[in-house]
Amino acid sequence: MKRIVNILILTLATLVGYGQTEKQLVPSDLKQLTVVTEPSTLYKGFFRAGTALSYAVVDKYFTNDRNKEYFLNSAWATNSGFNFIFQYGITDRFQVEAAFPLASNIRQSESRLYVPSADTTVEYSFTLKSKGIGDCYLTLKYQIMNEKASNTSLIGSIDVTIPTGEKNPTYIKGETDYDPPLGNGCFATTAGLRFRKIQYPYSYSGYLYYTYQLPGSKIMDPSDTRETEFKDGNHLDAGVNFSLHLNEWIALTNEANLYYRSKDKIDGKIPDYANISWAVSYEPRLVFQIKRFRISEAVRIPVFGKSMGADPIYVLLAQYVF
Amino acid sequence: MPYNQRPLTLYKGQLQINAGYQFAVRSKSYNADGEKISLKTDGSASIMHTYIFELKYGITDFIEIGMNSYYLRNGIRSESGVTLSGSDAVTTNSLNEYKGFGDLTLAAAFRIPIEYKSYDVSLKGGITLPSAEHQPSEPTHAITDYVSPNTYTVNYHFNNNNGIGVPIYFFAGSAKITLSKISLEASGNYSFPAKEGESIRWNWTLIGSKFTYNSIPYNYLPDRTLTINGSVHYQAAGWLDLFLSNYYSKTSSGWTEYYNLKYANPETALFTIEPGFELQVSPSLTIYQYAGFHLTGTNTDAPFYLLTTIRFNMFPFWK
Repeated sequence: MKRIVNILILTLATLVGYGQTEKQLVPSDLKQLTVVTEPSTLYKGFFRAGTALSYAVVDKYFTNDRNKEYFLNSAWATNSGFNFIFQYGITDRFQVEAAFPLASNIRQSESRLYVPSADTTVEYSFTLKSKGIGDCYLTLKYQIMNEKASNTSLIGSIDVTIPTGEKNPTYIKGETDYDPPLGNGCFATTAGLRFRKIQYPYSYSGYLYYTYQLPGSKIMDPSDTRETEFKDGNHLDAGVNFSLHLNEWIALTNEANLYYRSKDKIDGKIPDYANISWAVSYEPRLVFQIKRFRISEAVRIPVFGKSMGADPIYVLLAQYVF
Repeated sequence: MPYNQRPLTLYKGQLQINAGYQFAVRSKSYNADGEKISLKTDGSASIMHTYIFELKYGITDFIEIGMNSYYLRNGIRSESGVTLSGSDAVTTNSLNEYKGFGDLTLAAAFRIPIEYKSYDVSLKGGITLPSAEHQPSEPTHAITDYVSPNTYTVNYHFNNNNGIGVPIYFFAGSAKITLSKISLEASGNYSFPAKEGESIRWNWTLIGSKFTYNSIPYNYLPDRTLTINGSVHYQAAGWLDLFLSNYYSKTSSGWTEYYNLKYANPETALFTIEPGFELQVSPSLTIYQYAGFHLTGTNTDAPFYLLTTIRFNMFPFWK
């Protein structure tokens, strides 16, 4: 009898032990985590590289009265580019990130001038194109609240925007014949917090970032002969995000974002035409995780706003973890 | 169900909901000689946002009914004009806005009553009801940047709706053949209006800075449309179907009345290819996406487009 009891105890102990065994993730598995299950910062020694292709057409804007209106002048303008993003995990809680944007902006305007006294019509058109590197940025992220214990994290981040893009118009041959600048011409620094909770197959997050714009100087108009001192309005980014797995390797993320920007200053003063601008946007994103390779498609749709552009931005992102 | 294993209509009791978004860049068109015209240099390029809704239900394994509609937003600017007179300048901008729901289409499809293995044939017919507003709403022209009685900007803003205004009948036929992972599908669709329609044009008068409007009725007959579609599909995996479609459409026989005279609408033709994929995310959820590139055409706009659709499948009445 005692022998039977011992066998039963041993069998039960084995079963309990088996039941409590957690799947051990090997490094290759860790590199294949999805946007829902991955930690808020990269694991130590992991390196992720990727590029984000963005495309937007300038078509509508939010008026000062918060109405969404079409631009009425006959013009065609697109903003597109690649943003090359590199991330590295220094420790399991500390990550650095650098981004180098290559932008391509085109503005094409068509109009017709009619002079009745001379009975003459002149077609007047111009195209402004700019291609090249924009302003780069460097970001440090740290898990203030470690995610490992409870799948809950609080991440603090500091971001510095470096004005590597050309800040002044170049190749100026006339008022409507020049290459517009791609850079903003000033340093900016952003600090913020992001709270995130993973509850498989979901994850939730909320964030708040504040950007302080440092003063700078640049040529505002191609006809200017000297640079003008300016300081762009500081801005605030806040949002909430809800992500879910549609299956084991496809996730859908939903983000609502509030952007608020204070008034700009020119030569140390706020001009009369300056406005506070803000927008509330919704951004759905489909994220495909194929092993270590990630592709995502997103559209940022401005829903409400004031004194700023109201056009959707399409983003296609591809990333790989080495 | 993977594309290469499913028939042309739904199964009995199957409910399918499709929700799609199409982003289109209307930056070129074709003239009557089939030459490509850049709408960017013409000053009238625009963006179209279309939201598509579709509901289908399988009555039996061989009969399916469905309905669909859409919501479209498009603002077409025309080339701006400036009339100069000494130091005075009157600038004119013009915007044709299309905004609102399209008409509601009801359809029924029948397929040959055999179990689908490698080939299928179906017939479809239906009606597009004039459920959406067709007549243009009153314009909202405005004067802005007023400097003096001879220096100001006139912004012409025309408010159009997306309805056709009369019922449109259509019938279609489709055939599909599957050879292992490769499938071929072909379909043809012919639509024609049930009757002539009546619409209005808006005239306006500017007194001071105030516009007054009056409408003038006119008759019209929508075009008849023939579309032919062929596609080749490769079932790369159970969850992934890659396809390349081609699409030809031709319109004819429509007319529009101007000053009590009927003028034939220009006949249009357009040939498009659509590479895309269909992704089976879960048993009930499918995502498909394709892009449209126009290769040739006459008398028509040729927007590049990207369509993304999320499809839900369910059997709501099964116990």
